[in-house]
Amino acid sequence: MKPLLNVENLSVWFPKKVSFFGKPLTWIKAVNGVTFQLKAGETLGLVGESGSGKSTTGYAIMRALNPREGKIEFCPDGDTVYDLASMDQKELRPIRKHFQLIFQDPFSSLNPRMTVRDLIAEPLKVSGQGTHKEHTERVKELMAEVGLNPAFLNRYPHAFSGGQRQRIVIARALTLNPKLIICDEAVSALDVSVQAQILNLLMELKEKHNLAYIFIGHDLEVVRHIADRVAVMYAGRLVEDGSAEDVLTHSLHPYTQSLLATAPRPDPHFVYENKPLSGEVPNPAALPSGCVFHPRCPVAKDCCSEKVPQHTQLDGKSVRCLMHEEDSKHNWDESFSLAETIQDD
Amino acid sequence: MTEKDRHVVLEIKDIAVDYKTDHGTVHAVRGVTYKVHADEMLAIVGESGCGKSQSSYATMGLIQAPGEVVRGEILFHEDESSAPFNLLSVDKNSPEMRSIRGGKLSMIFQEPMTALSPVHKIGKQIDEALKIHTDLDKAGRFKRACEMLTLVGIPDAEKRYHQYSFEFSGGMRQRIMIAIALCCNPKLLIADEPTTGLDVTIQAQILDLIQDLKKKFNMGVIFITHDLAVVAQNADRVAVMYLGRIVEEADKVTLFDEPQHPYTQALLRSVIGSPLASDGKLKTIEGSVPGPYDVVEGCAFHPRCEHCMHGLCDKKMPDFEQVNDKTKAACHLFTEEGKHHKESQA
Ligand SMILES: Nc1ncnc2c1ncn2[C@@H]1O[C@H](COP(=O)(O)OP(=O)(O)OP(=O)(O)O)[C@@H](O)[C@H]1O
Ligand SMILES: Nc1ncnc2c1ncn2[C@@H]1O[C@H](COP(=O)(O)OP(=O)(O)OP(=O)(O)O)[C@@H](O)[C@H]1O
Ligand code: SF4
Ligand SMILES: [Mg+2]
Ligand SMILES: [Mg+2]
Repeated sequence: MKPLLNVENLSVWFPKKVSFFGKPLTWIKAVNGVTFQLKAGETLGLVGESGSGKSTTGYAIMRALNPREGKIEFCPDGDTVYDLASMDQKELRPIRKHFQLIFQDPFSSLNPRMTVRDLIAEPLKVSGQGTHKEHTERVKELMAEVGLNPAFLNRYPHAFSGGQRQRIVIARALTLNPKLIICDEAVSALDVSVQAQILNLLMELKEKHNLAYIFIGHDLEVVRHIADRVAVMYAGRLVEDGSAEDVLTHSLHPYTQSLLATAPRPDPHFVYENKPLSGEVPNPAALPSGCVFHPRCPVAKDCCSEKVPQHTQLDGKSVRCLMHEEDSKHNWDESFSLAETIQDD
Repeated sequence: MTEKDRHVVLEIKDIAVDYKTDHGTVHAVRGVTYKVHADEMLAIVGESGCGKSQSSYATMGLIQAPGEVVRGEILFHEDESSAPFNLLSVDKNSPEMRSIRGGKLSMIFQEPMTALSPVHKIGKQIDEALKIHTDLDKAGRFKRACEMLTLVGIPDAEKRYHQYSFEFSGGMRQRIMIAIALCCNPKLLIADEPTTGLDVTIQAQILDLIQDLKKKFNMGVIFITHDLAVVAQNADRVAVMYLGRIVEEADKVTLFDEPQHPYTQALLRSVIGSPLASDGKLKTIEGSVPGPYDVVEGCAFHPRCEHCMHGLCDKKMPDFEQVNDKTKAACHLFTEEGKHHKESQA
């Protein structure tokens, strides 16, 4: 069966400086050559530091942003493939119902002047199907499904807690039976106990409706919990992806390894072996040459500032690092151990 | 050094903070008691709205009307030999309080962008603090400011001294806040969610820095956070708050390994990656935290507690007391009344 989503070589740039004639002179290279696939019913965790291009990738897939280049092949029924990247907004309209977005902030993403009923029914109303009464029935059904009391139909969002508002947002996303939901930091602003409730709900809904998620998050433990696959982004590039377990326990890329080494664990007995990465994420308007990670990489060699790493398939993962490329791996001695190097520093 | 040998820097006894608003009184803090020692990090954890920030604002004399500290004592011990000073015995705008706040007692706020002035050079902002709290001359202050910037990991300090806060990244701004907070060698630092919203790698750098400086200056640190992973990694002792009160306090390992209070237990079960959490479906706490105007009688956690003893927990608030040699908790499972109640039911 065809994958639900096949993203190939996706790049998204924003103009930074524009000439007198409106022609961009310099670019913010937010996303560069991102490639991955997503099957129906699968959850892909997208992680990386702030500004690494996670949201931009998500918005470009939904065509809330225009990609600079690349393919976004979307196959909602397992048969017909649409290249979202090359379609205009009018052509996209009938396909939009198959994908939805859930934001981080349940406070700002709900119009405070609309009742819960109208908020959840809005996508139906826009699509023009069904009667008012049918909409109300569907809203009640959805409210029950996400754990809200359908009797609160006519209340306004301010009468709900943060967790309940996120449930409203989820109900609204489900209205049109989507195949793909992009969750952009959907639980990040919630308290731990509420976060656990929402994660349970998302996992339950996924099973029930065979939903696929792109779950954007910065908490590696949360992503490990919910994702089947994990993709790690750094400065607009996807540096590693594979099964969640593989990437988060046997990572190959020095950036993923550094992230994992410093991420705090809720376990007082966990022993941290490495020092945190120094420095900060590069400015996407002035990306480093070669491997974008080389200025911070604890094991970088001379070749890293010269050559851009390509995807290498290794141990079931796809990794972009010269240390793992046939042509350049001789620069790293056989006996060499990454963990020791990071420790000594 | 054992806890007993270490000098107590701050002792808070039964602090309560009320806000009288048009809709009623909000009991933001309902009786909080704790101690912080030198070279110790006490983490205060709890969900949004439970009173973590307000209880520390009380210490700093930063509660604004209509809010008011309605009871309690806040004893500050500058060093082993000096007599404790009750910060509530003087007006929060008095010269004494002004000289302590920002000097011996310092705070880092959650939002570095709003805490830093956008119209003053960052060097000048450190200079202001030094002017108030030290008797260094102009050249001495410049030198000290540059030293502090270097210490917190800002390269080119002499050049950066003349820049504005918007010219720095979020992580850098938080470092500058730390430089300002620490430039007068405080005895106690209150850090209110100092890394929330920062990237893990930047967070790790900032936490490392606070740990180093804590040791170096023998400083007590109150670390406010809702992130239990950060607590497990960094704290020495932990106080868990629920609805304006501390419900449990213990050293870090004890708290995570042997939580006593039903709320702490439930909380740890819902934290992904904690040894108590399950792999698939997470155990969650039923219901939600009561709103600020809701009145809950008895133990504030009783409506959500799986051990609630009807007739006691919903009537009488349990005292916060030692429940074994390592832990203090506020729960009727450990009070005399609770034991009697159970016997009489049996
Ligand atoms: N509309 C825009 N115009 C210009 N630059 C943009 C725009 N949107 C994003 N960027 C830039 O693109 C880069 C990637 O941003 P993006 O929001 O995708 O990152 P992210 O990984 O989602 O980060 P975060 O974790 O902070 O949400 C950033 O440098 C950002 O400043
Ligand atoms: N100015 C105010 N007026 C009325 N109530 C207030 C005011 N400031 C705070 N409160 C109330 O005091 C309680 C405690 O707030 P506090 O800010 O200390 O919580 P917190 O634990 O720091 O939460 P968070 O994790 O969200 O920062 C809350 O219920 C809040 O609504
Ligand atoms: S006092 Fe009662 S209701 Fe409160 S936590 Fe203890 S057992 Fe539960
Ligand atoms: Mg984002
Ligand atoms: Mg707070």
